[in-house]
Amino acid sequence: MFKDITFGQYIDSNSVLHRLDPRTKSLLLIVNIVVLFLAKNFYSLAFSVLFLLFLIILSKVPLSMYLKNIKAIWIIIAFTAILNLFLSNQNSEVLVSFWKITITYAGLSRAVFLTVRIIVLILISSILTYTTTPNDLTDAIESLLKPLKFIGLKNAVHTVALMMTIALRFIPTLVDETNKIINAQKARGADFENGKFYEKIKALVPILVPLLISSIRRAYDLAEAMECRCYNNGIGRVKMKQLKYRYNDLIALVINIVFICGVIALNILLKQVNI
Amino acid sequence: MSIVLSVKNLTHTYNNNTPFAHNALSNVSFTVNSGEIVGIIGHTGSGKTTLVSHLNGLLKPTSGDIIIDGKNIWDDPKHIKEIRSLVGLVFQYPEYQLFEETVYKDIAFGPKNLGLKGEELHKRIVETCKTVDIDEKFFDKSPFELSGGEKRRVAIAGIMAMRPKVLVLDEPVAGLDPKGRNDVIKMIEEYRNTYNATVLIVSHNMENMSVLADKLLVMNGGKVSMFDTTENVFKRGEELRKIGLDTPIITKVFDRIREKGYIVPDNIFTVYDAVKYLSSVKVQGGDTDV
Repeated sequence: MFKDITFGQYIDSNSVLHRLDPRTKSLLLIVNIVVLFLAKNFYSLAFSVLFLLFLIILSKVPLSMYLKNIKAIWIIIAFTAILNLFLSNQNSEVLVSFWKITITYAGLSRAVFLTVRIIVLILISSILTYTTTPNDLTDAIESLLKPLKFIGLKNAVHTVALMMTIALRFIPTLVDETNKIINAQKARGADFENGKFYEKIKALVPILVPLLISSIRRAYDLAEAMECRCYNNGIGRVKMKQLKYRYNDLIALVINIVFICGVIALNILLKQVNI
Repeated sequence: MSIVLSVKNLTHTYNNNTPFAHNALSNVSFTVNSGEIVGIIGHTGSGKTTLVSHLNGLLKPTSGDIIIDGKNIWDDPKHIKEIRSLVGLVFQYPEYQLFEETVYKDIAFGPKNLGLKGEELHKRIVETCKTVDIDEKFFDKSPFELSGGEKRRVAIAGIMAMRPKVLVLDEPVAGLDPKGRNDVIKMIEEYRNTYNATVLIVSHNMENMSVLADKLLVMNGGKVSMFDTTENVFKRGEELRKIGLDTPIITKVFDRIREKGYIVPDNIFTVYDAVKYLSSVKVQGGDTDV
């Protein structure tokens, strides 16, 4: 049942994007998300879509993997599209009108615009998770949060990074544990596949309770083991794998700046089709 | 004696048809008579756990058949749940699957899934607990308040309450103190004797095996390397050591004595056997106390 749990959906295709510094990728992702919200008209949005396609090709990750991600959140996409389609009551040209529902030109274009924007958002984020291992990502976050120590949060940075590393480390362990518990309860005649919705939910109790208890037990064990080795938060700890910026990162930055300028330019030059 | 379980040419390949494919079991065949206690031994990764997971249909064989009570369990995949009531499987560290508020409710989980209700269910639980010596004063306790050994016994009783004809236990005494170990062994024997059930036990502990098992199935690299009576298997100490196993310590002690030139039997597998033999030996010459 839990066979399909994937986390940190890293796909090792060793592309240019894989070799970028994870800090560059994380920062550019944040910048690009902001830029996506700056795109005000269909021209700049189309330019974003082009840029996204360029990245997808660069990532060498099969397109089907990206489509899978869209499939996972299609309900949210559909919900946004439908709400915007029917509820935009600006004074605009009416396209269709029946019963109490009217679809205006503004509504339609708004719905399309937002749908495309959400899809681009999701895909551009999945490029990061597809091309960066969870551990690299944690390192990047730790490194990017370093400035926080100047405002007296020195330990916080380390703690957050440690928590993330531990969480990532234990996901496969917990998946394993879950499968064991499922098998054990199946051996006791538990049925997870059949039954009504309510019964299916109830059938999860024999899995969740032992899982919760064993997670807590593991957490205690780990804390004790760390204390036994005198783990001390953040004092002079060094990394085995140091992150270093390279030429590639500079090139990525330049390309991204071109993209940002493109979006802003299209916004200004073709203002008349604002939404 | 009738054959209750027979495994024929069982092969299991993990990740079949992928580059990661590897054979966990290849061509395993054996038969078990009803009422027998069979020990399954083999070092880590020899396929013991994979083998027992097949017996109640948690894993599907890549090829080969498992026949229980004259019925091939995969003849009708829809009825695999019925097989689970026929073959009770106790996993390693079964106390980690306890989840109910009380011991009573936890033991009731299995039989309830089989469709038992009301008076019948209650009778089944009381009877099982009586057989395996779990005091009724535990019934209203939370399973999480119990000691390690008690938890283990409650968890095993939960499977026994389903009254399986074939009881399979994976490392039932791992990590227990001597008392807990003896209690678990005693309850397994009680269950077998009361319900004439067949028991299969996976274990690393040769001492327990020599006390409990009628027959031993020795696994090595996913294959059956020996399947014989406990006595005959433990007589092949050299071969056992070659595949990372061993004979009981008391047998080794007697081997040493024999190497020194004394004539002692080679079928001493338990401390009890040894005591019985030594007290029957007449002390000859001198004033040596034995």
